[in-house]
Amino acid sequence: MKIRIKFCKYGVMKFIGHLDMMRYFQKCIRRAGIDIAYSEGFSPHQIMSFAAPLGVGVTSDGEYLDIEVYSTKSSAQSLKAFNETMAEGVRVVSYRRLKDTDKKAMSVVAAADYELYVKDGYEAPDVDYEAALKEFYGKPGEILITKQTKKGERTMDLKKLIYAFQVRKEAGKPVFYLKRVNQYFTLKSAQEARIT
Amino acid sequence: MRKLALKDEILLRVEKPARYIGNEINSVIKDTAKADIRFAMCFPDVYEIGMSHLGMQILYDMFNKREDVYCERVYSPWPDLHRILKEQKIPLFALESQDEIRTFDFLGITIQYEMCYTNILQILDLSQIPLLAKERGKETPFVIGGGPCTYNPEPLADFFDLFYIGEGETSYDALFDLYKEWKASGAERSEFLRLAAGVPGIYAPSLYEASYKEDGTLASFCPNAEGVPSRIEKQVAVRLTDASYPVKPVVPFLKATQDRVVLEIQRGCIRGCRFCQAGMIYRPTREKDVGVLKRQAYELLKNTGYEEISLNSLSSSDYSKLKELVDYLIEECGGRHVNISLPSLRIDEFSLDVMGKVQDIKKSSLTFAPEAGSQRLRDVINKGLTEEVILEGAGKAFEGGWQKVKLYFMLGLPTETEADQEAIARLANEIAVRYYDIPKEKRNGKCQITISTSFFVPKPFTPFQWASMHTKEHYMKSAQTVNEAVKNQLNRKSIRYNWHETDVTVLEGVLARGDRRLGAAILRAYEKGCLFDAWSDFYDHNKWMESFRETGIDPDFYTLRERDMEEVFPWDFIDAGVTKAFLKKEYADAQKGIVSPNCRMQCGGCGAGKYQGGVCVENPD
Repeated sequence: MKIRIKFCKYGVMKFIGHLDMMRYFQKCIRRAGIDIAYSEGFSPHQIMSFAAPLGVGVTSDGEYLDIEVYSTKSSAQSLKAFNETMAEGVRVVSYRRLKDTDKKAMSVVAAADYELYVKDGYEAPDVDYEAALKEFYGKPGEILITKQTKKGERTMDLKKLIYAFQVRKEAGKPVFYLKRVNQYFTLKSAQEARIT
Repeated sequence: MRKLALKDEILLRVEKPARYIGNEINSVIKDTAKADIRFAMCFPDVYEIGMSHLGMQILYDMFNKREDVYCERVYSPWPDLHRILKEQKIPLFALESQDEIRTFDFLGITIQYEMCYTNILQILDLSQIPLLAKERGKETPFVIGGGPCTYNPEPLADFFDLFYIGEGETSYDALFDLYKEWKASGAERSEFLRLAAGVPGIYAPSLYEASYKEDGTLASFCPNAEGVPSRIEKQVAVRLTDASYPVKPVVPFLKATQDRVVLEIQRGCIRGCRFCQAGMIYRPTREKDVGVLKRQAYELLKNTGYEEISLNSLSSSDYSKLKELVDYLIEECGGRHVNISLPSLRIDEFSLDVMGKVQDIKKSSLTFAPEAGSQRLRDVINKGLTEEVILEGAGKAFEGGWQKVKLYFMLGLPTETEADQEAIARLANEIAVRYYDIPKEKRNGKCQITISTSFFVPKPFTPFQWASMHTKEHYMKSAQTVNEAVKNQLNRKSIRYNWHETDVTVLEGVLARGDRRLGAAILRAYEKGCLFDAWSDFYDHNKWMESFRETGIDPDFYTLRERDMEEVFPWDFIDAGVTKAFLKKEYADAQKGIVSPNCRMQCGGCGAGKYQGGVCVENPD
């Protein structure tokens, strides 16, 4: 049966990269005594998939991970078992059984909300951020970046990935809010996006 | 939330920030205010290597069982962070509390190989601890070294306050208790060194004086203060089963070199190979009780979540209850997708059967370590492995489905000739012949035989401690001889040959049997930027050779000299159990090609019997 796990990643754990997080969870699952299913074949591995990788340096209130198990205890018991064996900076907040027909997390997560803060000890220039955002983002046209990948360079239009973009002030400093769509749901054009 | 010593800007700029944040599963968090003794335990190499080391996990766990001690870990910062710490003058910190090491009571450094000596200076330098022990003030931590290289600590004598000779399980409690008394008394730093020198196994280098003869060899080596012992007894955990063992080892986030739990099944080795330092200094061979091992294996897997367990020893096949232990592990862990890894196993029916059950035959390769190509030379080094046994093992393996064989040899062994070197290639060819003897329809294409050679470096407390090494040119020529010989074999297409670098060998040879005069050269090399010498990308031979020249040291004196049988060695003040008389007899037998029986067959009277433990008191019923 399929299980969807939601977890938070915060504090120093933001320095642990995606591959290491996968390895970390593989061990947590064994420590917590979760009856995880293994793949067939000569080198069986745990059946587990993450919704999306989280970049190094970024904290998160909601990351998703699907696993397959042979059997399971109740959600509450499983949550407890997980959180008894977590490093500080990772907390499992939900453990839910899925229907067998449910799609994988990686294909149903449509977007992610990001908040960008100015770090403590740093000053932000005193400008009209709303006007600046409209000026930068509200103009028609593309925002092209060149991304270095293993296969070479790739040009991307960032506007097609941004569903919403807002700015507000907290304690005199700007806080940016960004809704970034998953690549499977890339917007057809920037016109659909909302800027405030 | 945990505080970190490094700002985000730095951590996001360096490769693998996870090396520096601590917070791993099973790492120990204590209230630093309540610890009487803060101990920073260091493995002077990169995190992924240091985290793979069992000895450090044993002591970390054992120290932290004491309520009054807080032991934390530290590893060598990678060169990218090294530069930042130097530029911004950020003091090196321990992983758990992220506190500066210079505020600790002890900095303990495990010294596993000679090529980490400049990394030791890096740790001191980045910690902002004076590199020379004599320049340290009262508030500076005591720098204490341990591990196999301390069986000749002399090249490092200038940089350490203390060395612990032998197995850590026995004397640290006494040292800690003494330290607390000293701290409360308010006495001088030097007073603690004098007190510590009275603890069994503790060597305080500043309390000893060396004088040299005109030919450069040692004239004398003795204490320069009263009440300081003239001989240091190596420490042995005689009852190994009862010794402290970590069943909750720290689990790194990063993939460590050893990405598995390690269960030590025995310590020491009965075989007595004459080149092997571990086989001499860990005498007597002691087995752990199989019932205890089963329990520990279960706990280890449960507490870490690892998918692999490695049974650790110098020669697993000699563990008398191996079958019982392996059967238990297969029974207990097989269904839970746990792999069992068995390094240092003799290849025979039992081991092939076991490996067939726990490994993927298609992917795995079998390793043989004949060490020398000819039977004559194998007799010289007392490696009790005959060509017949190798071919039989390989044959069984091939019939069992294996196709890959790795062969390890050493070049530059005492008495070696060109014929011995060529015999390496011939042995590999014979193994290939054995493979192609199998009918075509029963085998799976070609076999792959990989020969690796390293160059032999004589080590203290081995029968070869008197032997001469060779020039770099000689080493290159001998590797060339093997290479040519491989090319002349009928089955050359199935054989690959790799050999180690020669420069590093020469340096390792100088440091392994060096004396305290080498300290100046090590310091100079570090000042010139030598670091991570064990990593071939970083090793800079020219800087090392310049350092020797500039400090008036002739490397050849340490490497290209057959030592006189009566010479006083820098490490002679250590009582390692094995006696010099035994080593001399073994060296003489080596030259005559006389093999010695292993400890179970017949006691060789090596001297380790005085510990009254392990194989020395075993009762073969």
